[in-house]
Amino acid sequence: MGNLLTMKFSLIILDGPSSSQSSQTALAFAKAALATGHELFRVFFANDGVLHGSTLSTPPQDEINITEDWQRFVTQHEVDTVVCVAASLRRGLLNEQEAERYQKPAANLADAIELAGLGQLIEATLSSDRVLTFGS
Amino acid sequence: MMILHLINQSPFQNDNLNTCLRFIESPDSLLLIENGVYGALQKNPCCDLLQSLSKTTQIYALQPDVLARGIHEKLLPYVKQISYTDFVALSVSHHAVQSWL
Repeated sequence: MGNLLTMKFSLIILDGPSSSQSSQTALAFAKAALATGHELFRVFFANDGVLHGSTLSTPPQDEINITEDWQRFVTQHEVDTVVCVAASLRRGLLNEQEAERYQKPAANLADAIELAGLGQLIEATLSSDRVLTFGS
Repeated sequence: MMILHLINQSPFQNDNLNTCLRFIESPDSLLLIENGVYGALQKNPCCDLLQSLSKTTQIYALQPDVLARGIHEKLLPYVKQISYTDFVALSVSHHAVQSWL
């Protein structure tokens, strides 16, 4: 699938923004992949990783804001980025539609990111040349 | 099937590296990232297995993670330090990337 020069990558990120280094590693990998001419087919956040989709994450101002960094990256490069819907709802990460459906006072999912099921994960593994998992 | 094995946890912390080293075989490669780079230390719980593996298998460590931990002068001599760009290139040159989580 694909030639050796340009490959489609998908990344799975399992850890939350404040629980490990993994999403920083994944972001650096993603930037290096694009910089060397490869494509990102999809970024899939699962488990605590879905917290990277929140627009409300507010770490101290003198610290790295990896959540914002990820959101800026996927917006800028128009990367298909999804969060696992079951993991998201469980952790209080909702888009407008889900907030309305469950009668919640607010929605906090970043515009650039969509809620998705495992079908999109399977599709990503089928459609990508390489899939890398980051997290623990 | 050439596999790039990814280890992101320290061998002082759990058994992941040890388990991986029992499965890995030529022409696979091993890449140590994040706290996994502690597996490249001259003195670590897996250094005997790594020593014998190094004869047939290339072992890499992600340099930014090595430098962040200040261990660059204490690494096993056969571990090659690489950049993120090299990491991408290794993902391309191997058929699959297996994370040992």
